[in-house]
Order: sequence, then C-alpha cells, then structure tokens
Amino acid sequence: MSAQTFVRLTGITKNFGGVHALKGVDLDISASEVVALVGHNGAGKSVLVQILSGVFPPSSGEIRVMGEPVSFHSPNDARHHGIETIYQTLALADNLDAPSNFFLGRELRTRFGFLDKRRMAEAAGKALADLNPSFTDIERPVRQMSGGQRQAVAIARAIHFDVRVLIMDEPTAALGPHETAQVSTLIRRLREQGIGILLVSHDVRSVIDLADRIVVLKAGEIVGTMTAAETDEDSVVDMIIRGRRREPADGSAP
Amino acid sequence: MNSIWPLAPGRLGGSRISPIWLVLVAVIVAAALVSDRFLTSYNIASVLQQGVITGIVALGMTVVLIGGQLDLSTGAIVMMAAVMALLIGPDGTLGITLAVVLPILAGATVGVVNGLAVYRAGANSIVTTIGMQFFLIGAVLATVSGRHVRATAIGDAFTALAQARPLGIPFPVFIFAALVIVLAVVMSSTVFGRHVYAIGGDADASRRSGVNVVRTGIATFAISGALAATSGVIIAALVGHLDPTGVGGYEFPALTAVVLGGTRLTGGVGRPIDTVAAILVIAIITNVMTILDYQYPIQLLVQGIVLTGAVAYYNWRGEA
Amino acid sequence: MSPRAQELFSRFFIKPPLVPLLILASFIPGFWSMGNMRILAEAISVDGIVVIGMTIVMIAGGFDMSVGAVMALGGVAAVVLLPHGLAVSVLAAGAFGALAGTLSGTLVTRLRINPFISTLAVMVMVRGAILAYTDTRPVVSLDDMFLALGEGRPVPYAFMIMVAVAITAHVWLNGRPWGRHVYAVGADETAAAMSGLRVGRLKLQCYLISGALAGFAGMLLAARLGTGSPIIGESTPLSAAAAALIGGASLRGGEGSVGGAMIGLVFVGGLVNAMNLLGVASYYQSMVIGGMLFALVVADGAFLRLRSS
Repeated sequence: MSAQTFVRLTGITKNFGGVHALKGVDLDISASEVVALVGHNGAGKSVLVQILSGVFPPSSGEIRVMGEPVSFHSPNDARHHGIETIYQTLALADNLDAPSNFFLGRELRTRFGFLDKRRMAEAAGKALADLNPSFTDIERPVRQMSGGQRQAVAIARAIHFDVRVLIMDEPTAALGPHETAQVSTLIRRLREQGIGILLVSHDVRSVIDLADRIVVLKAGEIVGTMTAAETDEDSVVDMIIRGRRREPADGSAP
Repeated sequence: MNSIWPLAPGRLGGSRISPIWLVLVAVIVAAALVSDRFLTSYNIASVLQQGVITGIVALGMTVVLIGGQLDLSTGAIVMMAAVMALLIGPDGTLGITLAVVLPILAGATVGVVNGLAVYRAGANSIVTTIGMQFFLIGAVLATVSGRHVRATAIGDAFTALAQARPLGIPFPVFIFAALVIVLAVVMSSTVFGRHVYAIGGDADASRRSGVNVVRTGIATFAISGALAATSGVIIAALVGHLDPTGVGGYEFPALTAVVLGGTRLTGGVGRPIDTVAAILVIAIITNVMTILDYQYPIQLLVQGIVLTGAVAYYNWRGEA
Repeated sequence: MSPRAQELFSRFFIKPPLVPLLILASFIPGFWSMGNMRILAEAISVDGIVVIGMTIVMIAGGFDMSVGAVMALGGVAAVVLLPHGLAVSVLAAGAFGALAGTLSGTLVTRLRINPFISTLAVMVMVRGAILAYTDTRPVVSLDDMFLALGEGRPVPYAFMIMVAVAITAHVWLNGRPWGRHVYAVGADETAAAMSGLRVGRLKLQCYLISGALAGFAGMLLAARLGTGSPIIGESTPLSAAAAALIGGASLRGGEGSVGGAMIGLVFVGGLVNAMNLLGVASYYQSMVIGGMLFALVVADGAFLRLRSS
C-alpha cells in the first residue's frame, strides 16, 4: 500500500431495513488527488459520503486511514482522522454567527474552560478573509448572510483543521457561474497543497475538468473508474446511465 | 462583541436589548400609578417571592426551549420535590442536606427520562412531558394517598432557606439571582451553552458538525428538572406543610414568561436574563390584579392572552 | 393468515391488546354485568365524541389541548342557557365549543402559532373565563328534559349519539373529497397547498369541528351529572390523545382513522373502568394514563426514526 493513500474503503455495504443502498464499494483517495464520485440520485453517493464522514457506520466493510483500520462513531471521529465534509446543505446552524459555526463541535476554550470567543473570532476571521477578502462583519447569524458567504463559512471550517481528505457534496449546485469558478480554483489550490478531495457531483462536465479519476456509482455499486484525462463527457454519461462503458462505434468489443 | 460579562446583550439573543425590558419598565410605572400599595417594601418583597418560585422553573424551561423543546412536566416536578422534601423530614444537618439534595436529584432524573424520550427516541416533547406530568402527579398523590403532607420535623436552617430575609430581601431571591448568573454564563460562555443554541437552531447540522445532540439535549431537560425541583424545595421550606393537589400549575406561567422573554418557540434564540424580565412582568401583573381583587380565574385568562400575544408578536417580528 | 386478517388481529390483540384486556377483565366480578356495561358506555360515549374531534385535528397534522376546557365550557353554557329552552341550550353548547375551536384554528392558521401552544393558550383562556363566570362553582340543573338526555335505556342516548357522530365522521373522512384533503394537509402541507387545497381553511374547519364536538360532549356530560362543572376535563386531552394514538393517529399528521380511534377509546375506557371496579385510586389511574401517553409518544417518535433512517 502506498503511503500516499490517505483513505481506503474496502467492501463497504449499507442496508436500510431490506434496502441495499451500497453493495460492496471499494474506493481509494490519495494525496493530491481529486476523485469525482458521479451517479444518479439514489445511486448511493450520499450514503457513501455519510459513511465516510461518520454520520452513520457501514453495515459491513472496512475503512482504513493512513493504512490503519478505523471505525467512526460520530462525525467528530472522522474529523479527528482528517476527513472533513462540506455538505450540499452546508450543515450550518442558521442562528449562530460565523465563528460559532466555524468552531462548532470543537470550540476553543480559555484556561478556565469557558469559550474563548476572542480567539475563535480572530481565527475564523482570518480564515474567512483568506478565502474571501471582502467578507466582513462575520459576527452575525449566518441566516443573514448571502449564499456565497455561507458557502465560504462551510468551506473555511472544513479546510482549517489539518484536513487530509476533503469531501465536497455537490459544492456548486447552489452557486452562480462566478462562485462556481471560485470553487474550481479552490479545489485546484487544495490539491496542490497535498489534500485528497472526493468530489460528489452530477455535473459531469465540470468534473472532467477538475478530477484526476472519475468513479461511477450505480445502484449501490461502482460500475467503472476512469482517468479523467483519457475520457470524455459522453463516455461518463453513458456509464452513469447504462452502467458500462460505451462500445466503440465500429462494434469491435475490447 | 466578545463580552465576558454574561449579562451584556450577546449576539445569540440579538444584539439589541430585548423589548421585554421596556415592557418591564412600563409595567412597573403602570402598577405604581394604579395602586399606591404596589411600591411598598412589603409588597415588593412579596412580588419577588412569588416571582422567583415561578422564575426558577422558567429558567430551566428557557434552557430546554433554546434547545428547541418544551418541558411541561416542570409543574409536577415542583410538586414532587416539595412533597419529597417534607417527607424526608428536613431536620438536622443530614436531614436538611438530604431534603435539599434528593428532590433535586429526583428532578434531574425525571429530566433525564424526558430527555431520553425526546432526544433518543425522537418523541414530541410537549405531549411526552404532559404524559410525564400526569404520571408524576399520580405517583406523588398515590405515595401520600392524596392526603395533606406535614413534615415530622423541620429544622430552622431549612425554613430559613425560604424565610430568611438578609437586607430585608427574601432569601430565595438570592438563590434565584445566583442561578440566573450561573445560567447566563453557562449559556453564553461555555461549550455546552453554545451547543444548546446550535441544536435549537439546526439539530441535523449540529450533529454533522460533531455536536453530541442527544447528550446535550438530555442535559437541558436534566437542568430543567433540577431547577423545577429547586423551586419545590423552596416551597417546602416556605410553607412547612402542604396539600399536594394545591401545588401545581407552575408550568403555564413559567412557559408564558419564557416565551414573553423572547425565547423562540422553535429554539435557537433566547437568553435566560430576558426570561427574568418577563417573570417580573408576570409577577407584577399578577400582584396588581390580586391587589385590585381580580382573582385566579381572571389571572388565568390574562396569562393565556399574554402568551398568545407574545407568540404572535415574536412570530410577526420574525417574519418581518 | 391473510394480510387483512393479520391487520385485524393486530388491531384487536396487539395494538392495542383490547381482547386480552377484555378477557382479563372478565375475572373482575361484575365487569360484564348490564350495570357496568352501561357505566362503561356512558363513560366512553362522552370521551368518544371528543376523541373523534381530536382524531380529525391530528389527521390534519395538529393537536387540540383545549378539548377538556371546552368540554367544561359546553357543559356550563348548556346549563346556564337551559331557561331559554332545550334546543337553545344544546345548540349553544356546540356553538360555544365551535367558537373556541375557531379561536384555536385562527391562532394556528392566521398567526401561525404552533398548534400545541395555540390550543394550550385557548385551554387556559377558556378555563379562566368559565371559572370567572361561574365563580369556580358548578352550575346545577333540575330540568327534566335536560336530565332525560343523559339517560336512555337500555342504551344511553349519549352512546347512540357517539356512534352516529363516529359514523358521520368516518363517512366524511373516507367517502368525501373533504376527508382526502384533510389527510393530504396532514401528510404534507406544502404539497397540499401546491395542489391547490385551501390549507388554512381546512385546518380551521378541523379545529372548529373538534371544538364543537367537545362542547357538545360537555353538554351530554352535564346532562348526565345534572351539573355543569367549570373544572371537569383536566385529563381529557391526555386520554383523548392516548386513544387517538392507540388508534393509529400520529403527531406527525396524515394518519389515523375514526375506527382505530374507537378501538383506542374502548381500550382506554375499559382500562379505566376495570381500575375503577378494582377500587384503584384515581391517582393510580392518572399514573397509568400519563405513563401510557408517554410510552405512546415515544413509540410514535421511534417509528419515525425507524422510517427515516
């Protein structure tokens, strides 16, 4: 096993009652790699994301982080292992301000055990300014912020804490073209910093530009893995729909 | 901004001073104008005395509601704790200690059961805690066979808990003030408090951010149970003997105060200190109505109107 | 067993264990006597009318905490207005109840206040108003016609009325578009509104019906007792909710049926009746009903979690 492999999933299954949402998924994510996970709604993408981010455990299968087998009982366990998630819904508590959301679940404390609001505000302010210099007045409920600002809060808190693997669940679904371009730039920058990224999307076009590998999930199974540089949009779409590679036009099967 | 001073308006409750404080000033002025008996020191002491018993209950319910749930079992917990304290026989150091500690532990335990039902099993908190209310009332009355409860012995140190008047102020007011300060600090400046606001704002987002929603939520109910029991112990110390069927109904004025104080019914917003202002408003209105000889039924009616008006006002302001 | 038979078995033996309860109750001397059956029928008929209203509100996704106070209101109004004639008195009980229900419905739909809080506030206001009006004392009636309404042999009139109300409600909920709409509103309010249903008006109607039925039930109770008491019905919301929940209604709305609620009603009523025959003190009954409601709501919530995960 290469030391570069941050996360390795082996034989992951998930059953809800009688429904087999995942039927044995194998997936690696390595340093400086953008892996795109594509597939229809209901293919099992979000179940896989939630297992990897510790929301619920798999029914069977193994998760290894840096070669060590791990089991996640809560999102904090996944975060302790450097796996951070940016959800499509952003998972922000709307009534809290940006620093509170930034540090939610891992608050900084003073020597006396109280919240260190000043340090949290400074750290969050700096992290947000890095991401978006025009972002001011962070100490108001995130409910009052724009979609882009809320997204910035969610991204900033995910990449602030020694992240090895960043899961991005439909990161551009709710954004305009300008903000989408910003997210693309960010993904490239994070990749250069050595972070492994799992990009969950059904926007195949943008995924081909950004990803190194494209993994297609269908009905709870991985039906194909492609190198982004060697494939095209039609092939990926075809695999999403039919669950197999498109036959070459001359009919000569590989 | 980053005030360490817990009573300063914080961001979580909105940076403005809650309008309830203006209402409080207006109510005090109006009360003084309506009755010349209102501003006597004896009457003010009596307002405070009444206010703090409901007020301690309301503080706990504020914490539960900031977490997004309601606790209507508090009235029955008050009754249970008062009866327990008297049955223990609060005399001697050990007796008094037990008579204070055991009811509060029992109240916290009831809170944990409520919390488990609501946060672990996902039960509707209002109906759950009403079920608990009737269960507790039945259990207490069954224990004492529906009869009047009189302590076998009551030590002076126990009655002093409710009846001592340092500086002319009833001792429960000091207990209340201490609890207010502690809770204000806990809610504004500790990780636990922050998590209560978070689960009240968005439980799912909090869970995904690594907040232990179940444990935090159960703790809010435990606090509410313990505080309601504290009120019960104070009542026991105040009266020394009681008819259990006559101790009850604290949950409704307390709920009215919590809502009037601006704690949002859906959770995530509110401050214990604002509940204090609302408690005083309700205590003063009740007091003036009593002075003017409007009896309990009319007071009940007015409370219902105040609750409806408060919810309607905050709903309207929230939407605007 | 066919699915249908399985469902029927479950309805009578497991959720709730009605038949086992009745078999066990057979060991209590006098349970199946004519006299006791009459007492049971009288007890469940008043509560039953309330349960039907509560069930309708719960199907629409609401809750009515005010039914006990509104029952007291109906009883007091009926007795007070008796001098104007029996018809006026009976109609007034329902009308006052409908008024209280309209108030609840208005708070829920217009001011968008949570139904529990709305009806809790109405409960307190109604209770305060009748306590003030009666000066906390029961009002007594010796009117023969009125008292006769509380009689009926061998079957109490109240029981026949309850059965008639239940059949009507069942037909309206299942056989008319209105009933489909109520289920739709309770299951998914947004979807119902987008399908063109007048959600606010439908919910208001449900609260109005619940209020009118509670007021009417209070009148029947007053006729049986010969008094309109301002303090009755404190635990009625609990037992009504318990019966509705046992009968398959859910606090999430969109579920429940009159038939199920009637089974729940007989179960709760039978349990209370058996406890009375055994001489169990009323506070133990309060424990049992409270504990049962607690358990039912926990089960209701746990079911939701099972389905959503």
